[in-house]
This record gives sequence, C-alpha cells and structure tokens, in this order.
Amino acid sequence: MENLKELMEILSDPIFSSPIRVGILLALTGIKTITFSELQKNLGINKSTLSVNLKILENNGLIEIKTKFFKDRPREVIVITEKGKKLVEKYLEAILKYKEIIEENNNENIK
Amino acid sequence: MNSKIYENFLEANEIARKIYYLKFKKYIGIIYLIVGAYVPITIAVSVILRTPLPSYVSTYLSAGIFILGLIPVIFLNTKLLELYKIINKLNKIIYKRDIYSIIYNIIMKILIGLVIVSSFLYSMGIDRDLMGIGGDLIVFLIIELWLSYTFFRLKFKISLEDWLAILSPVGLILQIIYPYSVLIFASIWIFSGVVSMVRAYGKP
Repeated sequence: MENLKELMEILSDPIFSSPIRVGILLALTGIKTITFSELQKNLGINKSTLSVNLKILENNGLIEIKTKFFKDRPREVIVITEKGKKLVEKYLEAILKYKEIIEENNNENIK
Repeated sequence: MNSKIYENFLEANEIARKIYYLKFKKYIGIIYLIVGAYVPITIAVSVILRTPLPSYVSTYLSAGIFILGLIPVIFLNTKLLELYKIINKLNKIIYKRDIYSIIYNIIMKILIGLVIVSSFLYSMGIDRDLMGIGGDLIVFLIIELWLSYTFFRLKFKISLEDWLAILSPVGLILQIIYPYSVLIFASIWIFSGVVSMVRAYGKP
C-alpha cells in the first residue's frame, strides 16, 4: 500500500460500503462455499436483501452463485472467485494500514 | 478520515465470525466424536484380542484404528486451516497483544515442552502399560496444543462442551490407577461432539 490515495480508493469502493457484503466476502474467504439458506439463517436478514447484496457481488465477479442438487432438491451455493479473494486481501491490507494511520494521528493529537 | 469505514469492517467481522463459528462447530464436533470414539473402539478391540492371536495382528489392528481415526482428523484440519488463516488476519487488525495472547503463549510453550518430554519418555519406555499411557498422553497433548491454539489464539467462543474437552485430558493421570477411566474422557469428547453438532445444525 504505497500511498493514502490508493488506500482510500480501495476502501471507498461501493462494495465495501455495506457490512453485509464485506461480511459475506470475509466469510467466504474462510469457508469457500455456503448455501443461500445457510447464509440467510446466519445473517438473519430477509431473502430479498440477501439476494440484492449477492447480485452486486456476483455482477462484480467476486462470487459465483451455482445451483446444485442435494437429494434431488436444488440449492443455491455461493462460491468466492479468485477476483473476490484478491479483493479481500487488498481490503484487509488497506484496513490494517488505515487503522495504523488513525492510531498514529490519535497519538500525535495526544502529544 | 472516515470512521464509518472501520465501523463497517467491525460489523462485517462480526457477521463473518458468526458464519465461521458455525462451520467451526461442525468440524470440531466431528473431531470430538472421532477422538471420543477412538478410545472405546481401541478398548473393545483389545478385549477381543485377549483371545489367542499373534501379537503382530494386535499391533497392526491398533495402528490401523489409530490411522483410521487420524485420516479424517487431518482432513478436517486442512479445512480448518483456511478458516484459521483469515481469522488470524482479522485478529491482527482488531486486537493488540493482550492478556489472552500472553496466556496462550505460556500454555503453548508448556504443552510443547510436555510433548517433547513425553515423547522422550515414551521412546525410553520399558513397561508396556506405561508406554501405552505415554502414547495416549502424546496424542492428547497434541490435541491440547491444537485446542489451545484454536480457542485462545484465534479467540473462538469457548462453550461449556469446549471447556470440558480442553480440561478432560488432565484426568488422564487417573489411567495409572484405573485403566478404564479413559472412558470418562472418551464420554466427555463424545458429549462435546454431539453438543457441538447440535449447535452447528441448530438455530444460530
């Protein structure tokens, strides 16, 4: 992360304006796949809100929504893409740097 | 600086952790069940093998049961590894070095020391029963290392069943007095496994 401008560009990405979307991306980075119903159950949000957020992530190429059959019943499975993983990496680096800058500023203000 | 950015991150972290936790309970629940089942199965086999059988059959069977249990545990751990990686990154952002990290580091060092000492004693063992206890101790200490890493370092929520699983190997000393007391530990691990699975598949 070379400069503040680049840092703010990453963090100001509309993808990261919603904690739900960031939460989904972070979760998928750790667990790879999750079904729509599992995600809805864990997030405690309604279907339409979840669908809207998933659509945004899918349209940006960060996740893939696949239909798989379990015991002859279709289930929507959400998978993170390589692009999604890379973006999460960048985001976490940016947040870490961002926090360090805030702490440095706070320390300077105290002095 | 926009503080909303960091607030969003913290909220997202909570959302992700809820999902990690349920997956984690599923994986750890299976591991508890496998470890719990290993002991009674081994005892059952050893009782059966009291009938005159060549000693090498007994050795191969014991080793076979151990490996059969070990394979799924290793497989589940590889799945947990991805989870551990991202949680470590999140913790690095959120937490400073705190009292839990210090406690964890002390516990890890003690456990690593115990594994080395008991491995040495195990290799030097002359009494077969003592060697058996030494072997069990090494297995349980390795599990303790992993559990302490998971709960203290990664800061997963520790439920009652996890505390029981973490503390149960302490009672292994009882094996010296009464060998079948190991079944108490097995029962605890099976109980922890069942409760973890109920939590994983139940309501969040």
